[in-house]
Amino acid sequence: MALASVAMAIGLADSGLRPFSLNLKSPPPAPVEPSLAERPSLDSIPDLNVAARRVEPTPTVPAANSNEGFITTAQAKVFHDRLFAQGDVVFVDARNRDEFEAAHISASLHIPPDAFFGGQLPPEMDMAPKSYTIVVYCGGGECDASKLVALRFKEQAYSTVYVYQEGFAGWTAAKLPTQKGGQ
Amino acid sequence: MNASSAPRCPLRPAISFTTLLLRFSLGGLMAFSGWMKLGLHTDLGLQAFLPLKSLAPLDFYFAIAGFKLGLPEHLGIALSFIIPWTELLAGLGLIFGLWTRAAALIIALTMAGFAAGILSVISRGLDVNCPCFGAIKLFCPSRIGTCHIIRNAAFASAAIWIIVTDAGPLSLDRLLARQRS
Repeated sequence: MALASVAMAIGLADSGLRPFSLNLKSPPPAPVEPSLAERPSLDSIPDLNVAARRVEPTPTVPAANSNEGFITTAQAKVFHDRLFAQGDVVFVDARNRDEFEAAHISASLHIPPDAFFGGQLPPEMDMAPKSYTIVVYCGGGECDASKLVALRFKEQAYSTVYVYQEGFAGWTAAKLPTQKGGQ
Repeated sequence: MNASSAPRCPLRPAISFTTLLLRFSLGGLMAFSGWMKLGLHTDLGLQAFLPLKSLAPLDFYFAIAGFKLGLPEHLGIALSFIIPWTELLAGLGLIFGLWTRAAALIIALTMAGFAAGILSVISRGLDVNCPCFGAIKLFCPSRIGTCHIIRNAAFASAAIWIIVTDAGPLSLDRLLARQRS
């Protein structure tokens, strides 16, 4: 009992001395829908049925002052487009190797949590400057690997890191591009 | 019949040796496990001397959260520090033979608790990685499964052996007992 009490006391003291941040919980602003004034008037669109009259919201990237947080499939799609257009975005798959090789978001790198050996940056990221935007995902839903990898990137001084929370399940449900095999 | 003429158990040396071996191996593993989970190896700047895949309490927190036991976040954070410190101190207790039975009991209960959590994870089909020994895979793969239950059962059995046989030779408990008597 004494031993357990000592361990508990030291553990609690340590958690107070070395608190870690779970600051990935603040979600970025939701995609901004066009204001009513910007939307085309339904009356101005002739000969459309009711379903076709719905104006889809335009997905936007998170605000510039929101450098951490969760993003939606629409926002991830914007970043994925930017990956091919500007090349300053890296998509990171944090799932295990079997899942990654079965299928992953196209042009993703496979970097699971245990790739950060001894707090070092995985060699796959050698060519990615710290200014790049990192989008991390895992299986979607309840998986935590993406959050852990995102925090590891933050520790490595990457300033703009997002967790794509819907993950691969959300990506495939939206029928967005995937690929198979290793990297 | 005095004590010196009492028949001596012929297995006693083998039992003492086994206890000593289990104390050092189980204690070493537990202390190493706690050490790696706490990230002390990195925090104390020991990577330069002995590069090891050290983690941090944050990694263990996510492993605990992955069990999805409905624990409040602050409790999960506290456990991510308390459990590794318990492993470290109990492991050192076994190595030095100090509070040996208590240390072994704590390890046995910890292993039983882990095994129950792992069974729950398996039954719910969750995908959880175990940072049991930091980033090092010892005997089992990262992904939690049946192998981890067998490993924990083996550790718990070793701890029970130590509880039954007591500290044995080369222990501070025995030294202190001799001094008291």
